[in-house]
Amino acid sequence: MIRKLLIVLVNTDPRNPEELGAPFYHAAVAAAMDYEVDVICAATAGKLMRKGVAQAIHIKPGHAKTVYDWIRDAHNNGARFWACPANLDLFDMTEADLIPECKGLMGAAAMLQNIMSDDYRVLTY
Amino acid sequence: MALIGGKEYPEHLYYDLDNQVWYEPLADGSIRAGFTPIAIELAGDVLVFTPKRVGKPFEAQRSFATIECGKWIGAARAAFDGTVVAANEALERRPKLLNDDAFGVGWMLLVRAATDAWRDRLVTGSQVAPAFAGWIAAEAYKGRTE
Repeated sequence: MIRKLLIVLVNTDPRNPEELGAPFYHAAVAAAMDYEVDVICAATAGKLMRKGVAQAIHIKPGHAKTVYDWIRDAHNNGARFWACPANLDLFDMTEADLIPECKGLMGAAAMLQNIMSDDYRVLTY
Repeated sequence: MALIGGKEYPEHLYYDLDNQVWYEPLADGSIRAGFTPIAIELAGDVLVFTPKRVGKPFEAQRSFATIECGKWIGAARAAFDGTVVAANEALERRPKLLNDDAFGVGWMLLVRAATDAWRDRLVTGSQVAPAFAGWIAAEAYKGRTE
């Protein structure tokens, strides 16, 4: 039975907060179910791995819970978060700029290797 | 009964404080399991209850049910190895039963333990009140919700 889930945020745009609920919610639930969950934030979604960005976004206006709270929920349940190396240059970041919940960098080759392997199921957002 | 946070906790139950799950041994050898009221109070309104499928084995400290709440998404983690015998279908239909009656109609699962030693590390009887008082004083719950 496949136990690993790779969640790829590549089409999700932090400028539209409503898009940000589902991926992190699904990551939190899947991790709570004891699946091994890896979340990679690439393209524009890569901004969410930068300190302060997710903290400033509320999925629902006026609601106290921020996107960062959702990331922490998923992380507390065991989900691992990864940044895209190409994002560092794109957004003028260093690894020191990443939120503490981000485990590090997952390169495109590693991501594709996981996607093409028999060990993972993949959800993209 | 032990009075904890204004609620009565039956002393004949066995409690796993780390995971805030209670267990009740039944006459047929199965064990009824549910979340404690204090865990549900911290979690908020329960929106979805998803048990592990009937017949599936589970391991100690691993998830045997998942709840999705207003404040928290997380797992009910087992205190011992075992197998899911049945799930509370009423709770699947109406997850808020967990908020309303965690010790009664809001029970979660019937399970069978892998060994007879399942209750060895659980708290019961006159130990319940002081154990919960210590758990609350240690603020161990903060890591679950923050």
